[in-house]
Amino acid sequence: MTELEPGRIDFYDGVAPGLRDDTYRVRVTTTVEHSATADHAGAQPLEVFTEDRWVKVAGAKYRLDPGEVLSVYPPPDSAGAYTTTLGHVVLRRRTLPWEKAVAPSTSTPWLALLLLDVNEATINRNVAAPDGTRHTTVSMSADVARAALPLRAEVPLLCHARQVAPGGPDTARDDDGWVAVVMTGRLPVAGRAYNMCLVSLADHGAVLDRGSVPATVTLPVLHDWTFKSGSSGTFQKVAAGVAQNAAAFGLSAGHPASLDHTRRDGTPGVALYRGPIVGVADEPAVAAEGETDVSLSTARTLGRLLAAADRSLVRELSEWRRRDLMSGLGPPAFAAGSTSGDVAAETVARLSGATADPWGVPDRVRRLHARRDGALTPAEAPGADGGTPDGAIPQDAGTAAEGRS
Amino acid sequence: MSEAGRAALQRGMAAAEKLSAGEPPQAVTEAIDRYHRLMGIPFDHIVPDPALLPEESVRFFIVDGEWLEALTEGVLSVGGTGSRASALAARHTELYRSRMRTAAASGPVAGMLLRSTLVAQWPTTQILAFADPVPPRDAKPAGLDPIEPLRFEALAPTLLLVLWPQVPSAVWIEEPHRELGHGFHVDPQTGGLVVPPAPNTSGANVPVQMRAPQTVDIVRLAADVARQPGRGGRAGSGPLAAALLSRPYRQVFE
Repeated sequence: MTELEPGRIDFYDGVAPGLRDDTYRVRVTTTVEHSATADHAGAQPLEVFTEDRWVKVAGAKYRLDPGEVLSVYPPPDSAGAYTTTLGHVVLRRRTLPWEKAVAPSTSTPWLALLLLDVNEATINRNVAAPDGTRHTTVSMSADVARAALPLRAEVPLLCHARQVAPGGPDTARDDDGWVAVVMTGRLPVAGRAYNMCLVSLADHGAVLDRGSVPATVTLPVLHDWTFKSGSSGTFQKVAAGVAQNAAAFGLSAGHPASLDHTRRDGTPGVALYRGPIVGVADEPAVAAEGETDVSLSTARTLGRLLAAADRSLVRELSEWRRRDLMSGLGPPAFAAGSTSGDVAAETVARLSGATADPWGVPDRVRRLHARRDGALTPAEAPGADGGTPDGAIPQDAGTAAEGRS
Repeated sequence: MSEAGRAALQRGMAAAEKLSAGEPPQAVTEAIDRYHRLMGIPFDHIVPDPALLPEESVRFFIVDGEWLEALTEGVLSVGGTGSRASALAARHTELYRSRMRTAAASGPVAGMLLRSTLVAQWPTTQILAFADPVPPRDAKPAGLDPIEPLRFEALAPTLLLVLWPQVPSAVWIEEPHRELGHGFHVDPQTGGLVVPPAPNTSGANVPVQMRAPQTVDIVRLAADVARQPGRGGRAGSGPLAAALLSRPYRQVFE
């Protein structure tokens, strides 16, 4: 089987199965002959064995493996403008619609897709099937059946087979690119809900011919879904509407949005703002009196907030910063070649640098503060005489303060 | 200030001057890339006024690098205080700034915002952007070479954001191929349903006859369609389906 060029779809009226569902006889005849000459002339038949085997070819009649349905249209449970489209179901096995025939014809496909208003028909689930299993059926009145079912001549026109190029529509889950499609012949009305039922017509040839339609027609349902026919317009209509209103984005650095703004001093002002997207790249507008361009400061604040909200990002950021700070500060104090005396001097310098009073508080103030500190200590811990050195702190506050600094 | 304290401070300042920005951690780069793709940016920071993006509209934009640099600066300054940390943050920002300029192809440069029911109802709508040379409007989908979007995301049920790494010359909004149904066109003159002529032929529309309300006369339709030029002249389910298959609609912006 040849593969099609991309994007190509070939349509076929049908694909005949190797054997249509029926009962077949396989006859094996063995003839034994005897010949006396080398060229086998005048051979005499001795015996003839005949053996018959009956083979029944039968596919699913009352239900379908869900994997056999590749896709349906309109999409299940969707709502949209489907008033000009005929629904369809795509089946994996390309021969499926032609595997059975609706008697008395031998060529009428056995599958039909019915579009039924939700009020027109009843779907019965888990009903006993004639073969003893459970299946789903749909029941409708004779009038509805006459309206909803296709005519016999229409059934073959509503089933076709397609070969779709790899990667084409509806082939994503298909193996060979061949699918069978069953369409419906009815159009939905806007604003109604519908059931779509893929039904088996195999035992209902009489209804198809509209000869004798019983008061209630019940058909086996192989697959069904619902959709709503809305009135929102087709893709074309909506897309063309969008095209009417297409433009470059209305903000740019030169034309920012003016937003109400309260300035630092509490007076009302105007904030000029543009976001990360702009219609055109232009020079920033010059802020007039009372206007502030907050675009970039907003971005900076937002970046800070976004990052701060992301715990792992904050961890990574501070790790990165720590690493770079360390590499910047790193070895100079203890570089190779420094003596132990250098190290000691550097350490002392660093320690005193770290503990030095960078504000240069006058000694008198410090002593005063320390004295108050010292006066409070015994009051907070009355009787704490065992651990502290003989309660000498109040008397010797000045010394204590100097020791601390 | 004591002599020792002043000396320590000067050493610290000198060290801060010498700080070099090391290779950024991957997590930081990823986070900044994410923000540059406008992920996590509150929508009112992107579109500050709803009037800028009315219903059923499309807006094309370019990405403001200056704004994103300011955002990056904010991200990198988080958690650090003091002169050394801010000096380092400035170096880190500079690192990303130069990276954004050199690797311009990797970041978003342009994009579009589509606010329409298209997004909700046809979620697999295709948006194709093309740089020069722009392919002809009726080009077949196979063999097209659209700009690969950096981001293609529905921010809300009716709002789609697309970001591209370069400024496109043309943008096509195309009906999703999977959603193709068999359908009819509406004749603008009569309001009735018609089957359009085969592509590249000079045939006329074929009106669709009904055999009952809402029920198409399929047999007659198959015969009528078969008589259209370019359809092969044979009434059958294959030619009928091919005629009814609606071609994807393509809206072109240039």
